[in-house]
Amino acid sequence: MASYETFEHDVLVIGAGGAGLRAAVEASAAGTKVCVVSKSLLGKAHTVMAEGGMAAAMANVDDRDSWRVHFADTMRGGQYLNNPRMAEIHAKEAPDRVRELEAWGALFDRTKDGRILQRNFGGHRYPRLAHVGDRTGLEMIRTLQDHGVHQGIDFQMEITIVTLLKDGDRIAGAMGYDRERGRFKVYRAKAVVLATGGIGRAYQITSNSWEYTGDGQALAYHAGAKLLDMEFVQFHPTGMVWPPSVKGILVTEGVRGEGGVLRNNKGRRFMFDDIPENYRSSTADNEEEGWRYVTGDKSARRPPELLTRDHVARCIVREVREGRGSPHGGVFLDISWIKEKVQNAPEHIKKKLPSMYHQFKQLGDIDITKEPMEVGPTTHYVMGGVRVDADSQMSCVPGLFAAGECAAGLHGANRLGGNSLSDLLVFGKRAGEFAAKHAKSVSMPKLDSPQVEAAAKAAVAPFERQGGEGPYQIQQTLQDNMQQLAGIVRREDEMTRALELIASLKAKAANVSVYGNREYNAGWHTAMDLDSLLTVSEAVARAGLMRRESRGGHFRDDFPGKDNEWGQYNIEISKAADGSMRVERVPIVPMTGEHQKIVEENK
Amino acid sequence: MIRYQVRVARGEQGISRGHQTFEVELEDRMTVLDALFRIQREHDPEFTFRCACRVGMCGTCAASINGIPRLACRTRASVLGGKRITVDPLPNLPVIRDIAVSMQPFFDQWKRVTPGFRPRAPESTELATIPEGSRYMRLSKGKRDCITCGACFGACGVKAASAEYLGPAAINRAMLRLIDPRDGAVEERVSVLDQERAGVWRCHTQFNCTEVCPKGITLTESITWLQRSLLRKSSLRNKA
Repeated sequence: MASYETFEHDVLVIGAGGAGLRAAVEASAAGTKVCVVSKSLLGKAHTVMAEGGMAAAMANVDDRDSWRVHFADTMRGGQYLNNPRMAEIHAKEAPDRVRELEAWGALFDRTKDGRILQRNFGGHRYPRLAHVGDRTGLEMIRTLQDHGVHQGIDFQMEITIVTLLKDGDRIAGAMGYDRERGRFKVYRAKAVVLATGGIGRAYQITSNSWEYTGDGQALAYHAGAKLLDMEFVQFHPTGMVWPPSVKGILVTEGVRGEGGVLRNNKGRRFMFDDIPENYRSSTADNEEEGWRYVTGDKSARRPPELLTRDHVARCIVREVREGRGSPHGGVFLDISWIKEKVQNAPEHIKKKLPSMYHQFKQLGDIDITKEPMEVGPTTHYVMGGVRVDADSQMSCVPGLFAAGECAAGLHGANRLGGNSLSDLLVFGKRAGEFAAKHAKSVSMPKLDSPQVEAAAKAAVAPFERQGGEGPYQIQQTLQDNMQQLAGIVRREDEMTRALELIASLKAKAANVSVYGNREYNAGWHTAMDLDSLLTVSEAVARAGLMRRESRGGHFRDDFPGKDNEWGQYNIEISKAADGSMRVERVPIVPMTGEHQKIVEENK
Repeated sequence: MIRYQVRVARGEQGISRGHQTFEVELEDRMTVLDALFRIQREHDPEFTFRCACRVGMCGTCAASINGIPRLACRTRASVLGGKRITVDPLPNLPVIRDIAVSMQPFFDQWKRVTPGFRPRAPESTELATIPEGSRYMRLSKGKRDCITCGACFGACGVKAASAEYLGPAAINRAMLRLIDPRDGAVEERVSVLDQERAGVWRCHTQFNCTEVCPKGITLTESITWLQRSLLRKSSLRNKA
């Protein structure tokens, strides 16, 4: 084992997106020695793609807002499967996390009187999203990155972690390799924070970065942690559908927040036709009221385009299926119509949505100030992930923490837009804080060389095999499979088939071959992602099969209604002693009396 | 479907193995990134390039495309005119393999300008008011979008000759911090920017960086603004 370069840190953070960087900053500020490893280059994490903003009840634009309303909105959006303690912490702490970013150099857009401006977003009762134009994620990442570099955090870029290491029951670090040369690296650490993001690449159509392969969820699962809510995958209603190269790329909800409307090929605003009962009282019933809402009229109710994402996504699927879609299989999203209402509308649109304007101009050859966009649902976010303690973000494995998208609990069955960036900061900070605390309370764990050797052997095995299937084919078959059989609309027979296919792909992945050497070998990198992709795909399908109802991001064609009984349970996944995947129903974390009161008063 | 001849650089660890040409079919509006993927998926699984977001937001896939640094994901094949596309690694950075370069020299320069925020009043909890028409808002307009893709670094004629030159992106970052009324670290940045060989004076105002920036940042303007300001350093110290 002496042949591998070995590092020792108090806290190892895996992933350098918003959650990972925030965790590292906090752990470093607490005086611990911190290392961040990331699969991509520093500053390229999926977080940079976040556009809309971060939800924080600062009440700058509407003074009726408060953490209580934000809490109630988050719970309702999550259909009450959320961990209420996490939703409470999140709603209470998000404003501080926004202000703190400003203290580190970020600059959010301002109201006329110089306070932080907040915009409307789906599912949020009041304008709540602090934003920096439509590049909030970029500003956040750059701020945290420069802040962390200044703190002296050890950043190691383009490192893929292949396994977590254990010392008995507790975490002992991780092992991985650098992409550039393919050299193994061993990271010995008292605490490990997983902040690896989501699982979008398990699907064919996704808005996610290509590094989003479910690594954190899979690493945690194999290390003995539990996964929760994996059936809940969010399909963002508006992804680009044309040209083919950008299929799935996100069209921010901000377009709808600024007055963009959805129409079918008959020109009808079909979202008015299907407003769920529990949102009827807070949704506009005519176009005029919807427009007044997006322009800041506090007496108006929000337009139906700003209903929760799962609902909007399914409405779009219905329009397309019933033959009312756009030429390339989506529907029309139109912001250009606001020229009827706003003077100098093209300038206004470019100022409010600069990235969207350029994205469509450059890639689609479409001027969104003049013509509608074509959009359709895309795999966007996984609500499920590593089960963690609400306060500390620690999993059931001592010393193993998770934060951000790879952790579960805050969002329940469906996440509200804008609650992700705030999630990263609120729980990234907590994970860093508690990881540092944990590291200070324990001794340096022992490294177990057989674990390291076994991982190294498994990692290079694809080079030594001849004639196995190539990694790209396996990956692509999986993506098609998940898209078709465990996607936005699910059925028992289809998910059963998905599981059979996953089993056969696992066998193929165990025999995958790659060629060449270990220096920046993209084929090898893809082969190394397969285990994570297959593990999270299996988790999605197994949990999806068990939950015989429709709720939030999980829609069952064969059980289209919500089942109150199922509203009492989360689905928990763990690795059984024989290596198989165990799926269990576990009771939800109950709301306290106070929580219930808040929900009632905000009904 | 249009058939393209895509000529890509091959080589590793700074040793070039010349170019290799692949026939690639692309649909209407497909990008150079699609062409690179087709090569990797259909012809040679070892062919190496980087990409992450696919939509011009992360700045990972910058490469020299028909001789000009740009993002592969944001470059439609049809806009290049002609059926031959040549893709090389970004100039002025060491090649790791094929199209992938080490960004280390870029980030080393970035670090030198003290890119992070250094508050003038660290204890203050007061939120700064930075009105719409203020000097910062005026001068920073369109300059805050840098995605550290390295295109400017690769296009810069001075960078080609000088390892020590800061390069456009780092200088632009320094400018943003210097004009930020909340930031206090003037002297350390000025001393780096004012260096004879590494600082802003090396710029030849060729506008290559501004030309290639995928975010449309007017980098040359940032550099010349700093040149003028360094002649009257008091203007940088006095942030009011």
